[in-house]
Amino acid sequence: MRITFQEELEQLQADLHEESELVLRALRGALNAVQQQDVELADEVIAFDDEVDERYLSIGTGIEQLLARQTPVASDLRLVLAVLHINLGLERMADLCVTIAKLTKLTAELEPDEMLVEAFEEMGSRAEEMLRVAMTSLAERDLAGAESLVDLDELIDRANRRLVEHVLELGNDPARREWGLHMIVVSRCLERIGDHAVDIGEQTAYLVTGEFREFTDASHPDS
Amino acid sequence: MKLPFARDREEDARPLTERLQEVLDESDEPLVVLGDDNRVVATNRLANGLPEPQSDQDSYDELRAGFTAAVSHELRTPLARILALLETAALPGQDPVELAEQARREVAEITEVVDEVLFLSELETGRAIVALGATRALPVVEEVFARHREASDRAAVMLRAEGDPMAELPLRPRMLRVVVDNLAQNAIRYAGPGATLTISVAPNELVASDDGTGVNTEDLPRLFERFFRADRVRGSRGTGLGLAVVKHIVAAAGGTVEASGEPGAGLTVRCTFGRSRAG
Repeated sequence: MRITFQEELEQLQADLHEESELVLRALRGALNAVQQQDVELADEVIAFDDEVDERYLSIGTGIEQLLARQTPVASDLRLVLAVLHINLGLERMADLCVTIAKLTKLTAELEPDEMLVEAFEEMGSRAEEMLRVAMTSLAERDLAGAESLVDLDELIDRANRRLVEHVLELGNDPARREWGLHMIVVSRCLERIGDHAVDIGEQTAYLVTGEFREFTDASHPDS
Repeated sequence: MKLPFARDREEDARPLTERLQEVLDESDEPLVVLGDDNRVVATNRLANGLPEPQSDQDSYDELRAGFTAAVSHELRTPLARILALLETAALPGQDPVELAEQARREVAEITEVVDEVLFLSELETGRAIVALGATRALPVVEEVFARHREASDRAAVMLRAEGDPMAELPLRPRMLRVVVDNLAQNAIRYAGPGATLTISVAPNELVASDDGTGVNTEDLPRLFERFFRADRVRGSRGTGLGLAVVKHIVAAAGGTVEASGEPGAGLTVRCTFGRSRAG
């Protein structure tokens, strides 16, 4: 009986990794779509979210059954709870990719700004890297790797702030300003994807240490 | 093994390398003689079929050098033609409009090569999105065939689509269109008049087979190399990248491509995808 339980736990983690691969694909799709103003690709990213949702729901069902039938304790319980959290985080990331795709469609007719397009490539690559680091640290129970996400997140936050400043300087042309305003939201989505990756890191730390703490605590900055 | 140096030293005035070669050729085992710097000094007939020992870096450098040379060659040919056209246009009594039109076509050809090289490198770096969910294949094949109808009529090549209308492949519609497009163009250009190209689809499988002129068996493994064109089609147009693009797209979606056939018996290209749902 316990062997099956271990197998189920393994399967749950494998499913989670597959879900993260799907999210990475959605993210790359959303990035390419926004950079190349590719409406067809944007539509595909939006439709692709169904696959992520399907995976999210099936992992959720797996967790329910595991809790009901096996009543895991101690580190097994922590693992199941961490998977529960991370599953939600990954699904949110995919939703943010859908938001980027929708904004791409809204702005397809507007003239893009070359510098912003490059900024998205930088932010997007960082977000991809963060998700990869988060999932590898989780798989390897690597506390240092998980904590390194805070530094990576700082870089994406800075890029987000630079982008907002750039949009503010876009000038008086209404079409450019409309485009810029939408792009601030795109930037914000990428920044949020980074935050979710940090959350995965926090879950890894919880798994390894048994103690939950936020890596950066905005309410108590000095603690 | 007898050594060349011991034998007939007085009588044989031939250079050492020639005498070495003679001894190597007498052997019924593959033999390679390496010099101080590990370069091959001599080999016998049997060893010629064997690959030389090479480091990974060497193979990579060679591949890259070969690729650069191929790209330059592919671009230089149309550039030389454009130059000739422009020089002709400057001569008295020439028709500049007609010459400009020819030059425009050459530029279009260069653009096509550059676009495909860039596309290939995007595929290789993983930046291009190849698979995002699955696509029902048959309607896409039919749509691409409809676009090629005029060209296929001109070449007297028939295009046929068949298979399970519900069958899905783990490729984006756009990428599937590129795959079918390249397979169709390949048949239209090279299968020969009277041939029929049939693309049949099944779940996770796409097979393109024609009953045309086929290719030599020894060329089959090289069909998917960039800029490879079999000798008999050397003179024809085409970027030589079509099947390389097909291979890279299918590989990026986790699938495999293989070619089979023989001269006179047509060519079959089979793309198979993994069973995993996401591809």
